[in-house]
Amino acid sequence: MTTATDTISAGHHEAESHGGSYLDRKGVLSWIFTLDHKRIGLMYLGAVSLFFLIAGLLAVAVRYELMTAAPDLVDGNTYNKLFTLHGAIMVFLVIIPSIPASLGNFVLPLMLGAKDVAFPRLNLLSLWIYFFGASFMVYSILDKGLDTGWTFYTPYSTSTSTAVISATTGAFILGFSSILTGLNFIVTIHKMRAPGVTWTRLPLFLWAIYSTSVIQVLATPVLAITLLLLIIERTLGIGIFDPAMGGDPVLFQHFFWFYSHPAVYIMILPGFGVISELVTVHSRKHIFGYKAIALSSLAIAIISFLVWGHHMFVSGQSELASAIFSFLTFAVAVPTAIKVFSWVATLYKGSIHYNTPMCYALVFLFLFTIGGLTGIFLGTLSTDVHLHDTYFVVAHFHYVMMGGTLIAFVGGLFHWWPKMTGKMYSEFAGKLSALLVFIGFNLTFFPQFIMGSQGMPRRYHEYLPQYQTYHLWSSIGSFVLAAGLFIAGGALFFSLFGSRKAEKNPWGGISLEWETTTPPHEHNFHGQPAVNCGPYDFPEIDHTQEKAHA
Amino acid sequence: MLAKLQAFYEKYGPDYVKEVLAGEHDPYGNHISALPVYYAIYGALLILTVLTVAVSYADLGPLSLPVAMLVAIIKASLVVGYFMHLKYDTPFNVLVFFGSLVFLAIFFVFVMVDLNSRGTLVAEQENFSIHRAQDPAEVKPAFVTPKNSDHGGGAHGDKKDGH
Amino acid sequence: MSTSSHAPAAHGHDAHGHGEHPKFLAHHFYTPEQQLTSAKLGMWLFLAQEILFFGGVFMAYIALRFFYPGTFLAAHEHLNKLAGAANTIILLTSSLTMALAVRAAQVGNKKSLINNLIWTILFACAFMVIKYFEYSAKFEHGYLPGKYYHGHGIEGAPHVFFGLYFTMTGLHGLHVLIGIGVLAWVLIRASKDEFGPQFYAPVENVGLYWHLVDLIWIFLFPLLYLVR
Repeated sequence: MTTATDTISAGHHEAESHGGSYLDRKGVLSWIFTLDHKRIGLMYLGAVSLFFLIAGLLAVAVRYELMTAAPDLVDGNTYNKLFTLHGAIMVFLVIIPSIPASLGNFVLPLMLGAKDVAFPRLNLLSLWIYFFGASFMVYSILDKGLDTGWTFYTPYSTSTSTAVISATTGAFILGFSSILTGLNFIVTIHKMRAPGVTWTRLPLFLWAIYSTSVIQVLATPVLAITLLLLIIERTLGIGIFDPAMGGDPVLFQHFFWFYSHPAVYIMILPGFGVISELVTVHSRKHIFGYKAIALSSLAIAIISFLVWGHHMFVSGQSELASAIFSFLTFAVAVPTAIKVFSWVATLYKGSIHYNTPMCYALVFLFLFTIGGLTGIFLGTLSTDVHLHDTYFVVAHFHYVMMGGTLIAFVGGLFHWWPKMTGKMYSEFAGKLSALLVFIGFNLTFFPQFIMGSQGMPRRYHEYLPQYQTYHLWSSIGSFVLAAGLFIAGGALFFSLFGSRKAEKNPWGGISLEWETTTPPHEHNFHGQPAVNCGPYDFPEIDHTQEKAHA
Repeated sequence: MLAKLQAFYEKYGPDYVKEVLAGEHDPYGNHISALPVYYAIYGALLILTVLTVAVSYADLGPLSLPVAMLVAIIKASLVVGYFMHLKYDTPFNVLVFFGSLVFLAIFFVFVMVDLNSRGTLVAEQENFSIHRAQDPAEVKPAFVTPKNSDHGGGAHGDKKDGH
Repeated sequence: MSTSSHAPAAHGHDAHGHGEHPKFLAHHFYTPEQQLTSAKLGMWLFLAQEILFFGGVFMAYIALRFFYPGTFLAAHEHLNKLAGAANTIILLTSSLTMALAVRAAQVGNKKSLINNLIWTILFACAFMVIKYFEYSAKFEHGYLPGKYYHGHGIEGAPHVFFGLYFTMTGLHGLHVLIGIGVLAWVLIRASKDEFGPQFYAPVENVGLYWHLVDLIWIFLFPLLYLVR
């Protein structure tokens, strides 16, 4: 409670908190009631990591079952619960809050040169809401589990006996956490920028967070109403979504994907933002195409609302709608490609430092490109009719969500970890983890493209023997991937107890978060920072560019 | 009489209206509307409410829904513009409000496109089933079986009843 | 106040100048104006999400009316148009008193602020009372939502219409109840003399919320009670 009152009583803090760190205050209450965005970011990070561990172990269990064609480890119902909970936890509790709520919360005000986000109490409230919603999710696991898939499609979700209501209530509540965080970030970026931090001097991470927040505010409420209507449908049978009561299950899919397709970009856009930071800072070179990357984030945010029907090509949606959605889906490729090309062009002739974050950025570039390109097959109406609900889809979205977002998350974590904790991790362990993750990931998911294109359907716990080899490799890959992630987590975790203190600016970044002490003190900066150049104007590289032009 | 009218016009004429609409400003430069503006808007809202109800009794046929919605939109714009001060607000807040409507419109339009064109596949398939019954009992509303709903859910509902 | 950062990219800069930090100004803001405009932008963003949230039920309305036009026409006759119209007028009036309350705060008229807030709360309660009687009448006739529907005499799929009716008005009613709560909170703060021309953001934001509740009813009323 001390922190709370202290932070509100304005004005006098500057003198008393010189030199200290935001981690100085001790005691559980100083965390639970903190209004400090950095502490809130850290708590999100802890929660996200915990759920990442749980959902990751569920995935390993799924892969373990699939090593053989026969159902030997678990029965069908248990298998359905395993992959449903893996998906639901990963989406709602891990990936969506991962980068914005943890890294974003920590870094955003620092990058802006602000003392805090615009609404610190709202920020704390959204953390509590997150825990509240998460507890419903956990309850549904402990209760009867959930076997609908993370998409809760009707009519199955209105008839299954598993804990649909508590899980959807959890997702409903989590949605509000997401909305409030997005709202807070938009206002913060608009109103809290330090002098000199103009829109074109905003680090690209913030452009990405901004675009993400726009989607969070505009799309998440539709998820909320969808889940609420589903709960009402299940309890009262009002006949909106349930065909047995006269409703339309395709309508449910429209409702669901109106949120959940943009949500895919809620997940990946912050990853783009992190990669924009990593490739420039670790190659000491001005970003190529700053405005193109910044505006393509916004473009993706808007286009993301126009393409949801590509999830519904075989649902009974009208052919006309399918054709329109398929056509619009290709539009997403343009801004996305602009980003990838800009990153590669940034690396070109840069002075690349293969630090751990950079290694993860390179892993991201490789995996995300595959993930993005395979999306084109699935966005094409005619091919998707064949590939729908096969392992091709599973491989595609894992290349994007895991190979894209979560890799960027881990990379960003390695990047900002020294600033967050004041501790330096073992570079060797970090790079080893990046290598194992890269090998393990491709080994897990590349075979899934092949068996998917051969017709292996998703969500089955037993399969024809012809797919045995692919599944076996895939499972082995998942164990390597898990090992790599454990090493990454270990490298970060044990650095906390190590003696290697981080420098103020270990990577030579010039955006504002590197200008304050490490770890930052409670009010971020001593005095009001101001900025007179862009976030990527690295001095050395200007030199080389001159030479190159000469 | 005329002199009275003249005096009234001078007091409450265009200059007065202009002055009232201009309002005042608070220390931060935010607009403060004059009281008569609020009362005028309130009066307009009441009149429009009466109009909506009246329209619902007049048989306008297919026009009744558009007219009712138009009246509702006018009422909503009055509330948003004057009660909520959006008319005097910063351009970005205006953008936020209309932006949310645009995205809502995207949602409505795409789903309506689907709902409207979903019958085509059903129609095509029905051409193949020659003996399909035409008796009204078959298009009974509600409790559509999941099998039927594959092509348009409750679309079989009571599309043909009522009118 | 301000010390120079030593970094090459940043230079010291004094953003405030006017040393005093008023009590209502949170520590992380520099000027009251920054705080006011932030609060307002935040509120408009919140309203944007409210619009999308209610947009979902309106979408459900469009779809179900498309499926069951006859049912909607038949079933809506069993709603009480008079009660609906009365509630419309009550909400519009409460919107007026709310707007007057905000104005009173802007010009620093504490008495008018408190009176108008009380009136707004009273109208909101009146709305809920009428809603209560409407609901009771529906319950009596068995016009319950979805599978609990056991009314008679309506052709088509009335359980769908009443499911939607209760969902839409219920969600709206919930917002009215929340509105009463936040209005009471603002009223308490107003009676402690916290608001004035310098600081009225909470009054204004609660007002914006309350107008939105009114706005939604402006559409619900013709769509549910006046189907043609």
